[in-house]
Amino acid sequence: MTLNANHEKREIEFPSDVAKAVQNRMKLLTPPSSFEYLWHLYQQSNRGNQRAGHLLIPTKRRKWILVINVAVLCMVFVFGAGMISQTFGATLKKIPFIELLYKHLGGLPNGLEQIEQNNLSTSVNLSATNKDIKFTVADVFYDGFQIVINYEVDFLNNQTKLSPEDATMNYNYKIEGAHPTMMSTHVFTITGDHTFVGTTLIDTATLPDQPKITMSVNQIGNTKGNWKVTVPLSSEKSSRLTTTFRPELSATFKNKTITVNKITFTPVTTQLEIKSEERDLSYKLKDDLETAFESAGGRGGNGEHFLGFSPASQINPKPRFLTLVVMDTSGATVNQKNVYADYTDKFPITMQGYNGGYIKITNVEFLADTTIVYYEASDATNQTPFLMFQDPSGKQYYHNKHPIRLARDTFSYKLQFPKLDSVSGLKFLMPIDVFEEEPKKPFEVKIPLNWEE
Amino acid sequence: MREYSISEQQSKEMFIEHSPYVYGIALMMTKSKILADDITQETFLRAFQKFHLYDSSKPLRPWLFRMTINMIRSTQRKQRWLTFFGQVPDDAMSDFLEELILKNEREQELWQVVNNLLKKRRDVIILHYYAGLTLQEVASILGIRLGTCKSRLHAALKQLRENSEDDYLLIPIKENMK
Repeated sequence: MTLNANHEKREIEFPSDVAKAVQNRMKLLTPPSSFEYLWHLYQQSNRGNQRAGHLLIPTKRRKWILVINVAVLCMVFVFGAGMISQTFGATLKKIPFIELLYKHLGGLPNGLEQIEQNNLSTSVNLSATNKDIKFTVADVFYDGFQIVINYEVDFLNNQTKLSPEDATMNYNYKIEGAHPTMMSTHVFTITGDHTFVGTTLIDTATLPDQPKITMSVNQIGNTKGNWKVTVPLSSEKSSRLTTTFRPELSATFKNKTITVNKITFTPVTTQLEIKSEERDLSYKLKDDLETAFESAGGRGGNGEHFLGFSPASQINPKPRFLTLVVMDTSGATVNQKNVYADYTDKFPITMQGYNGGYIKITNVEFLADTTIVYYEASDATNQTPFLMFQDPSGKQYYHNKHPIRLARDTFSYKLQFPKLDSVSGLKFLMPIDVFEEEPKKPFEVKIPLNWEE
Repeated sequence: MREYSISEQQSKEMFIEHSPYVYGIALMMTKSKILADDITQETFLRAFQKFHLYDSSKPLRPWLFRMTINMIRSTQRKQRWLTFFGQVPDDAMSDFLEELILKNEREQELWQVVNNLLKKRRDVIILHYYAGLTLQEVASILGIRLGTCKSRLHAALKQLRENSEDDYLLIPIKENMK
């Protein structure tokens, strides 16, 4: 392959030996998922299984979640933790699991921070010890939709310092008396010379009222063994802050009926149960101030869809109504255009947004651990832009908490980013969607909510 | 018994032949084993489901890889909160690429430069050189005209050369050719 390189008519070639070598190695790659497993999922999808329905619902969650119905090899994200090893019991009490989760994963579209802020988890401290390794489930959170399990692994007689390779686990889950589709993700953090902690988030289908979850670990680091802990779950703590509505509202779209059966506001999520035979649809949710709820996954099958969103905004915790925006995305081709703006300390910095709109960055605070960006969007469509920083090396920094709306009468938000090393040469980058054809007009279902009943 | 739009045998053949590339492209573009595996799963599940829409008079590869690219784009666009991968130090991210695909120092150095290209240009480089697709196929997969594809490749190579501190990474540079 040869191409003109510049005006001097010089020609550049990509080294063919590198290209060939990589092609040869790519040919030999084996994806972790087997064909048999995929075929099983495909068959399930044709039976209207939840997993398949979940494929057809746009989610933000499923790309980093694993379906837990086979042995799980936990992918490990080990980050240096600034925590010092302490005595075991004291450590568990002090570990801010959810804060670590946000720190490492960033931008979770739900309100898991509420768990620690409102003390919504239940301390369990159940342990199993084998091969001089102690596995302890410290506490759990359950709100009927999500399970969060926080645990610690302690290498009791280890003489050497833990390495990232040691902070790995293989395990299975099961719920007693139920076989839900469970999807989970895991984050591990080394907290001391001989300890690491982990948090596992699990999305579930409907569970029994008082489910028990069993974690059966068969390998920690390179040590094979058996660590099995059964944990009772209760949604009692979060139920005090949970409100459920059953609007049973129906509307017709594309000659098919969509029915909103149930809406549940929990401290960490908003869940919708809807019925629709049309599968190629995507859904957005906004409140009576047009505040967008961030999508946080979904499941479905047999015409029933369970849609997850972020919790209600702090400035409007009890909206008078919600609007479900239904979009037909079939056949839509979307391109992206990157919009850049240099970071300066002169505000506002205005960036072109979607569909003729814009966002105005009104301030940036560089704090000890984080960077906070304040912005105002011109309209509802642009209120949650995919705004990021890019440094001169091309490294990009993404927000690590979901945007928080600050005013009821404007689309003013604050957005938290990680700490930035330097502002020199820093740019804002915002990809915006550009549709090749005018997107189909969305259909909206207004859902009144009476909080007094 | 339910009829599927594709037989198990057809699916298996498709998976065996193409999954290494789907997985490899997703690995290089997302730099995440988890995402790449998930994208591979989703791509093939979608391909199985939509197989009745595939025009068998045309090659399968662009059809399948187009889905892969759309899946990757969709992941990167919509799944904002997954972007923590972008914050993982480069060394940590590239470990598995070195382990699986980029074996020697020169390949790794070149990848570092490729990795810093603008995304549109990087996609062309990955699909054309690393995945071994023709430019026509790359254009079809990315949904752009062949001329646009060539111009992105041109710009990518130029940027690669400019960004590369070590001239030997891009060889040879020939004079006086159109």
